[in-house]
Amino acid sequence: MEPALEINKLRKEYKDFKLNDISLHLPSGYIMGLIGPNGAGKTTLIKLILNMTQRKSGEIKVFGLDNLTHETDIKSRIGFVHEEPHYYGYLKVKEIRSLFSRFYTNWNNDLFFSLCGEFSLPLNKRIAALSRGTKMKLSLALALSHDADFLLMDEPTTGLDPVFRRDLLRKFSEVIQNENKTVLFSTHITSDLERTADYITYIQKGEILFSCTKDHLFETWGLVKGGNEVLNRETHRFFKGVQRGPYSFKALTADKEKVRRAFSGKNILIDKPSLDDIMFLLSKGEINA
Amino acid sequence: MLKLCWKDFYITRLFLIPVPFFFVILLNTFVFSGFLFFTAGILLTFAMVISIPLIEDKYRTEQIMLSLPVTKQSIVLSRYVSSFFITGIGMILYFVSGSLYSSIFKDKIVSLTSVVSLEGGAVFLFTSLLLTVLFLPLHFKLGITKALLVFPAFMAVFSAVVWLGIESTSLNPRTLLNPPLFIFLLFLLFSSLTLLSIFLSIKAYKLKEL
Repeated sequence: MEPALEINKLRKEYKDFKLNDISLHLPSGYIMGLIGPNGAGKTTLIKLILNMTQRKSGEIKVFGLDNLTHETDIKSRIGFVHEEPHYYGYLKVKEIRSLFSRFYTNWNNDLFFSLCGEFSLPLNKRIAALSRGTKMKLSLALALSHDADFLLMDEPTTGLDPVFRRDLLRKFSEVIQNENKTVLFSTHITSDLERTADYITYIQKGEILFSCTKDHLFETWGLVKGGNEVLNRETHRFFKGVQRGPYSFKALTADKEKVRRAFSGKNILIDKPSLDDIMFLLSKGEINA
Repeated sequence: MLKLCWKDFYITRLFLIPVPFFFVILLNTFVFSGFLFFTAGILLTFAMVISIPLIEDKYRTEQIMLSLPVTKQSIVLSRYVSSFFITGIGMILYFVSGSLYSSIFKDKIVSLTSVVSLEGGAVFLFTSLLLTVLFLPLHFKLGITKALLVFPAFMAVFSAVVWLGIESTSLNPRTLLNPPLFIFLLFLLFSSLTLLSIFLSIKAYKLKEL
């Protein structure tokens, strides 16, 4: 089966920021979480996939099709959920449906109304009167109602209450029960990914630091804790990021078995890292290339 | 592209429905000056044309629209089609208002007879469309707010250049309006300008960072 998304050496340059020849591979039928600090390039990457902004070089393929030459074909198979869904505020929910449904040949009115019922969306209410969470529900209903094969979401859970966030994540999981559906969502709420994602991609300063399955990440990566006396130039190279305290350190390794062997006999502790630990140590710790 | 044109009318319909009423009422103020009547008609038509980008800008819907199965090129082309169509509506309203007031006031306002004529209509249509094809590239390059700020200055420079051009040829355009060749050349000039405008708009919008 064609991968849902394939990115090769993608480059985008702004005055003060660039996406630096990034490559990414997402097989069909999986959920990939895109994490990274603010300004890391997550939204830029999503905009490039949707051809909202121009790349400098590189290639993006969605379902094996180039996203520049097959733009409309690809977009008709994508459901997009934006961080801040902006719709025409004076239109009613049902009018937004009329507007969007015309653009999709696969539009399913029954599914839309059923999702509106499930999300308690008021069909006769104007968009301007909806809360942010309700707008996000509408956005999700619109994205799902044309039978999209690929859901692309830019920070969909940011600013939502915990109850709705859980509902949303449950909905993601339901969506991909159909194994042809794929989800790529960016977030900086790492707990969301721990619940749902199959793949985790970490992006920082326009570079992908890792992209792998969540299982692989938690099996091989480790959070190493120990006294500062065991940390020196020689041992420092085993770590991706290190945070030193006055007496002890916390470090991240991509190969905990290697660290276990190298530090054999020394007083260290290796734990399973949380995504928060990974994100913190990669963004704030002393970094090794 | 037709879906996008339909979208333009769907989102502006609430604003366009009362326009005929305002058009007729507002133009009533200017019936005693043919030039003012003409200018007011042009400005009202232009206001209708820019209502679409103004609404899109107010509700920041650009990104959502670009996530639909459309290309930037089709968005630009549809905007031209919608704008030309709205200009056509503007011209009809202008003629209806002019004819209405001419019949009501009859001999009292001779100034409207030259404006609400075939020749006057052609000048109205040409001027309205010209404003649109000059404005849209600025809109796609700068966004609606900056474009509206820059446009008057741009038009002043454009008008000055055209005026100087006419002056330097010592030709009187009023006497040249009748010959079919002049009309044909005007049409050719306008068509070339429209194509150039579309080309510049597409280029600007493709490069625009959204």
